[in-house]
Amino acid sequence: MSNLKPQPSQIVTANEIGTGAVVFMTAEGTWTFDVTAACLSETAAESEAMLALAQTSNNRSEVELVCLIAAQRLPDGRPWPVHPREVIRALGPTVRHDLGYQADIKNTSRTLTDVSL
Amino acid sequence: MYLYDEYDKSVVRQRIADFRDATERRLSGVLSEEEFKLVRQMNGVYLQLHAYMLRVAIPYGSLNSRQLHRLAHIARVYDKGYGHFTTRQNIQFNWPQLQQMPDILEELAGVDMHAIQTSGNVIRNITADHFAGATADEVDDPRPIAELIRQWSTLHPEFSFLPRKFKIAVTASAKDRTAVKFHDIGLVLHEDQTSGRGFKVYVGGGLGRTPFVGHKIREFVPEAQLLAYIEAILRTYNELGRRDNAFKARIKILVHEMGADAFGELVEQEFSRIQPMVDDLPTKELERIRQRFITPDFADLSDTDLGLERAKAEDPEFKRWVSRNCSTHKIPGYAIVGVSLKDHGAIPGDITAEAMDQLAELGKLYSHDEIRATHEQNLVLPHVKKRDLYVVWRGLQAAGLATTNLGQASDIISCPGLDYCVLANARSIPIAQAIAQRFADRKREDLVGALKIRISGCINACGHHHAGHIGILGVDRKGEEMYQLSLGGSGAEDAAISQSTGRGFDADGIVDAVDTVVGIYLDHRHEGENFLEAYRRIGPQPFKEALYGTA
Amino acid sequence: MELLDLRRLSSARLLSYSHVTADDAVADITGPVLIDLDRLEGDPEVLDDQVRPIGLLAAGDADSTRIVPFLSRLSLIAVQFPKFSDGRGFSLAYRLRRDHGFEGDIRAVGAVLGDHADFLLRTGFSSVELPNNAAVETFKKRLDLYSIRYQDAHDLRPTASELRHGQSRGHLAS
Repeated sequence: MSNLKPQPSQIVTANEIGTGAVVFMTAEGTWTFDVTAACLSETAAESEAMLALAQTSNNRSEVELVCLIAAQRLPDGRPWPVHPREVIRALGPTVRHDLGYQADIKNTSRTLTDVSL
Repeated sequence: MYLYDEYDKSVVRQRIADFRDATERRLSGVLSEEEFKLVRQMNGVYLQLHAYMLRVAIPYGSLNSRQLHRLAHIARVYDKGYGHFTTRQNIQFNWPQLQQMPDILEELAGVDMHAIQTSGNVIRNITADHFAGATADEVDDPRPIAELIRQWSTLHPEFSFLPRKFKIAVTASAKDRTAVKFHDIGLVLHEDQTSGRGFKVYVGGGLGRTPFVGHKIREFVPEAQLLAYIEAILRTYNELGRRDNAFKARIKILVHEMGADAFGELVEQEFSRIQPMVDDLPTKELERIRQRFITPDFADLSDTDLGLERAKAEDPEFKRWVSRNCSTHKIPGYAIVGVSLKDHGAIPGDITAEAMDQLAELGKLYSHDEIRATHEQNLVLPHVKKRDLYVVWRGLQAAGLATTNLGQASDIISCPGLDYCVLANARSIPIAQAIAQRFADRKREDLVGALKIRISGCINACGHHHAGHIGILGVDRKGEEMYQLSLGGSGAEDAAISQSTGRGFDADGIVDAVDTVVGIYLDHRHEGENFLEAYRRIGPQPFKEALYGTA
Repeated sequence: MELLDLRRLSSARLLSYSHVTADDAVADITGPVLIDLDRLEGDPEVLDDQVRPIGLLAAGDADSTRIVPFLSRLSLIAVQFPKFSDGRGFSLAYRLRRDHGFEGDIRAVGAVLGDHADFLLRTGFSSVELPNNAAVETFKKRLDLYSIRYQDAHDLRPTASELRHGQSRGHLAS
């Protein structure tokens, strides 16, 4: 499990309790299935604050396995996971493109094939 | 098939009521993540990479058609239309929702199935020879003993918080189809002129980070005392197994650190304390279980079926399937039919709900209502009349289950890897698919012959890479998936741990490397010699030279 | 802390013990005392006090043979669970009853969960120390959750195979 210490350039991820689905925290502290809508930290302090905010959701039993993962900023300004594992988590199995979040995002400009694994 | 009685049904029902209560308390926020984790693990529920996963136990790999239909129903209604057969004769569902989990367990209970102890530091599903009760080479059907152990190990008061998970396999055949020596306890039923029927006991085998071939600590435990002997092993392990480091907590480490002889000595001491208390109940119970196993009402047939011979002569495709996928049955006129879940390019072990339903019907009509799951992620119709083979083959073809490749290069064991698993470091399925595609040319696949390729996406070795003639281990090297190659392993009666060839390869490179290794085998093999035999004769050097050059 | 008698489902007849640390003088404490195994081994004259109940606090991984010399003088053995996942205490209790015939109170203390309840009773524990009343209620409920047991264990409730074969065991203590 990724269990990074707060650093610059991170996003918060977790799993939704009811479904187990992978979610990412937005700037408002809500959860989204869309990794590119996640809040990307600029500093370690921001990461720490994001994690603390996410923990309150964990305490309300909305999500579990809350943690920080490394992310980069795409040229269009949106965040994207650094590690292949997290890309797979964000999209779904690479061997079944009909499953997971990737199956729900027919119109997104980004898929596994154009972000190198 | 063992038929549950009212007591077996009660245990499962009460377990579900317990789990339903815990799930509701988790969803309403009463139970914390940590508290609930313990409960869900005891009930086979994991939180994987994309979703929850439910691992359903298939004790000793035996299913009837109702059960397989029910698994198909669960796949369709509660999951995404498929299931995944594992390397321990279980099935996993990859997308169930937590709030529906108790309902899924009710569905399972309706056909005498459960997910108890398919996760956690407990005694896991008891596995057995998938040809049990059908093969001519066994002393007796080992499944009643496996069922006796299943009941004994279910919610055991003393052994439900072990240092680590605990796996037991049972076989009654000299030809090992269970990887018996790679289990925490491996039991081999054999008969002795003077002592009668009993078990050879192996302990401390296992794969994972530190693979070991199990040590035989006893040549003969009488059948009536087997549970007492297992209890002695478990008590010794529960007391002395390491709890300071999860990587060193399996019994294999304890046995290795203290020595098999010393460990066996402690077990004998404990056994001598238990033995006087053994009454005749286990024997009576075993007899009862035997009676609750439905023995197929086999027909009296000639061993040669003219229709079968004619069909083989007329249809070479069918002939090839019969010779590759079917095995000798103990009853004349019957055959054991192997069903491959490894179509070239498919995901090893995956099967759609539709195919499950079709296979269940074939099992009901043509295999005395029995279907088996193998630890090699395939299925079996154990009791098919030879005269029905052609019809069964056509039925399997219609279900997409007639791939002719059992025991060959494309019949690859692969763990789910990084596509599904939280523990994985690299993907394994795409590698399995790419290698299988390389052998899609059946002439080449037949030329290569028997070959066991095994792929794991991390050091935990669920893909049994140490036990493969060719083993592949996925690792994460600074964010890049890399693959290490090892050769010469065996999960059969001649159990051996494969040895690394040297530096690893990237995803494309590993597929080429397997090709290279197979090429060397073809160059060096003697007449009739399979890959493993050739490797054992010529050693790793020719393979290393071909892979890395002569430095 | 709350106590629960696993057989009577009450705390009525249970004694509370004061834990004696390494430096405490036992004479300064009144009533039942609970003493660590190390202290007892180094200071066995504590047991000369013939009046007061004396309990032993043992870690779950304690070798039962170390406890044996003191058994006849002990009215309680408290088995410490360091983590809820550490199941050594179950084997220790089972041994104390079966191998050494201890008939006093065996009490589970430390990281004990509702999921342990039935298992504790069946391996020979007679009481448990719990953090609060809610935990006591959970425990009581969970002791009754399963009516069927597959294993012959240290309780008198019939096992599935006894029910199936109409047989009962005579060799186990209550």
